[in-house]
Order: sequence, then structure tokens, then C-alpha cells
Amino acid sequence: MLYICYENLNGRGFIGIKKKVLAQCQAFKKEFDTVYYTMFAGQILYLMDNDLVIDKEFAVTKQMCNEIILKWLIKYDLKKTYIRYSLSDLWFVDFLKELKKNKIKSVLEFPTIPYDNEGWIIRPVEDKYYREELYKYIDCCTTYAKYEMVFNIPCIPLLNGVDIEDQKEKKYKKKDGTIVLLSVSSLVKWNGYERIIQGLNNYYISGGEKNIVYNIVGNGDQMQYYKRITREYQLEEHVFFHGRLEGQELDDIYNKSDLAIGSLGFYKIDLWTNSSIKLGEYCARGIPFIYGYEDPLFSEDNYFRYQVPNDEVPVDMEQIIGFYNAMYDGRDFINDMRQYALLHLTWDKILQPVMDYFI
Amino acid sequence: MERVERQILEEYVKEYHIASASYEMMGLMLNDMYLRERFQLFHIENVYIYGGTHMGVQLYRMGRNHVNIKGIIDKAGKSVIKVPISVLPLDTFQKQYQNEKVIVTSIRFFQEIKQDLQMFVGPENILGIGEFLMGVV
Repeated sequence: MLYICYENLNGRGFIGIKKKVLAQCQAFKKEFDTVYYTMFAGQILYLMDNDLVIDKEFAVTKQMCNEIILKWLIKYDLKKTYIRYSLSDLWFVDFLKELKKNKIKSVLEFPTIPYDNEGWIIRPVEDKYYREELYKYIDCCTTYAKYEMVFNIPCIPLLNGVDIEDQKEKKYKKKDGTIVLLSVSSLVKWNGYERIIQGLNNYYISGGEKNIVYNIVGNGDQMQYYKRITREYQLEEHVFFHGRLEGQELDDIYNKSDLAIGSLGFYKIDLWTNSSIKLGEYCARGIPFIYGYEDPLFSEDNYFRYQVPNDEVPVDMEQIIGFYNAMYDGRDFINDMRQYALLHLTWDKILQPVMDYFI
Repeated sequence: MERVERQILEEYVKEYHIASASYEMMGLMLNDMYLRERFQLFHIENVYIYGGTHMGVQLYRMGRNHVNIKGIIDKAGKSVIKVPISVLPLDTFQKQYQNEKVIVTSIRFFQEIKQDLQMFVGPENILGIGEFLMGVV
């Protein structure tokens, strides 16, 4: 099987996506012997297996990439493709036509639906036009929301999984008078972390006495904005920026934290339901979390989550303190969360309907 | 769409991607620490630069702080901006070549240049500027 990805998975802002692609490939390997993936970086299309280069060729355009992929499918005897969607154009439609003509069974993954308001689409007219042609050449798609059809293509709705082995279980942190919040992300606009910073400001202006600290891990477009409002609200003793952390440093900050923050700003891109990788990671690590949208991964039965409305209103710190007290009452939430992740959130379970489609 | 119209569109798209990639490469080369890291990742101590264009000159100006740049190779034997280093036509380069890495700064003609170079340079020693700056090591 070939997992087709047109992005530079080693590029800035792609850490999460790369982890997801590698984890999905590992899951597919349990069913299919050979699973390679492609990535495109520096005018080279790479054929990869678990971060090792199997093959590579020079390419400038997506059309050239697709020609190379068709060649590799024959060279490496790969009969199935799982394609991570990267906008439609004339040549992508041609490519799907070729796959269908050569009887290559293919599934198209839409990482986010809808995506029109995410703000990164360079040629929206082109994409909107050609995506209406896709259904003629592709028989199955997936996305991380409850859709039965996407652009007239039958859809297998999925949830975002997590690579359990990559998420070390956090150590239990005893109550010590301080509540430590943590977010780990690429700091994009739909993270909406200003709602926490503004919430802290409101809390302390109203005379709040609890020491609440917020650690922001990651780099991205919103970094300067968050830093600016932290300064404006004079919250430098409460909000700390750590940049990108990995390995032991990341594990350490998880161990020092009490509650994690998921996305709070999906309203900005008109997204109300999403299956986020991040909450799955928090769950696997065993850190209770706060988030602001509908996530089908979790239900009201999951006591280790706290959902706030999907809007611009600052998060009420009194509610967060209440959630913290409820969690840290002696229950073994770390084990409960880890078990939940093992039973429901691993990629091989989540991708089973896709594997069944291919077989 | 007529076949010729499609070919015209394909040419525009290719030019667009070359221009966009060139802009990105020029920007990456402004980052001195990043450039040093890339030379280290590829274990480059001595290198030739193929292309006397702005990209080649930019790579020379930033790269000379980190590695020994033995020359700029250019088919026409000249560079767009005067540089204090030999600009070598291909036949002169061939005579002095001793197994160093060659970074080809032309994206448009990379494949043709690589074919020319492969007559006496091992393929593992020929790096496109994109691969050098952004590729998997």
C-alpha cells in the first residue's frame, strides 16, 4: 500500500501531521505487508518507510509528483493507495483517473471538512471547481467528522487516533496550591488560547487568589499575539512560553502540569465538530483536559474532560478550579484515561473500517 | 481543453512553482545558522556551486562562512554579480574535480545539468539546491 502525502512532513508546523501519518502507516502494516508513504520536500519526492528513504526523484510540480507515484506503484508492486488530500486541480483529477484506470484501489482522506475558512488555500476557485469532479474517479473517502458523503464521495467517518507508544504516561502530581495548565500545539488561530489568558486576567482583576500558571508549549503564528496580551494584562508571572519541546523535556512539562488545554477557537473557522489528535494525546498521557468544541472521541461519560462553549468568551477560571478539584480528589484518572485511549483511540482500531474496505 | 492549451497551462504552472521555490530557497539562505546546520548534516567541507545566477551567488556569499567553496561552475563561465572566486566553465571544472559535492542552484535545468555532470561526478555527489536546503538527509 502507498500512503500518498504531498507535504514536507519534516517542515515547520508538520510535527503533528508527521506523527499521525507514521502512526497510520504502522496501523496499516498490521494488515498489509508493505506500507510506504511519500513526502515532498525541496523539489524531491521521497518514497519513505518509517523515516527511511526508499527512493527519491526530482519533481517541481504536483503533476511531476503524480507521474513518479504512478511509476513507483508499478516498480514496488503496490496495489492500494491512501491519499492525504492536498487540494484539487486538473492534475490531481488526472491522477485519480489513472489510478482508477489501473485498478488501484484508493481511499482519499480529507484531513478537515469543511476547510474553506482555514485561511491557507492559495487558489480557492481552482480547488472548488475540481473537487466537484473527484467523485467520478474515487469510490471512497474518509474524514474526521460524521459525514456520509463528502463532495458526493461515499465517506467512512473516522476519529483521530493516537500512537500510544509515543505518549508516555504522565506522573501523578500532588496538589501543592498551584494549578498548572498546559497546551502543546503549533499555535494556530483556531487554538484560541487567548480565552485562557483573558480568563486569567478576569480572574485576577476580580480578586482571584489561587495561583494558576499556564505553560504554552509550541511555536506558531499566534505566538506574538499571545505574548502581547500576556504583557498587556501583566500576566508574566502566570503565562510562560516554552517554544517547541520534545522527548524528555516534553515529558517533564507534562509531569509538572495538572490540566491540559485543547482547541478553544474552532468558531473562528466555522468548525463545530472535530476529532482532534491533541485530545487523544492528552488522554493517552493521562492529563485531564479542557476544550471548546464537539469531539466525537469523548462523551459525557468521560469524567476527565471539561467542555466550554465554542465561542470567544474568556474561560471562567472558577470553573477550571472546580474541574481541577474534582479531578484531584484521589481518583486514578491517569489509569482510566490511559485505558480509554488503549481501548478506543489507537489507530489500528480506528482504521479498521478502511482496512476492511481495501480487503 | 485543447491539448495545446493544456500544455500552455502546464508550462505556466511549472514556471510558477519554480519562481515560488526560488523565492523560498533565497529566503532560507539568509538564515546563517540554518545553512551551517545543512552543511553539517550533509557532511560537506568542500563544495562546488553550479550556477552563476543570483541563487548561486547567494549560496556562495552565505556558504563561504561555513565551508570551503572551491568554485562556481557556469556553462557561460560567468556569474551575474562579480564574486571573488573562480567561475569555471564545465570543461575546466572537470579537469580539477576531486570528488567534492556539487550543489546545483538551477531548479529549471536541474535534470539536464545533472545529466551533464554525471559523466564525471557520482550521482550521490550532485545535490539540487532544494534537496540541500530542505531535503531529507
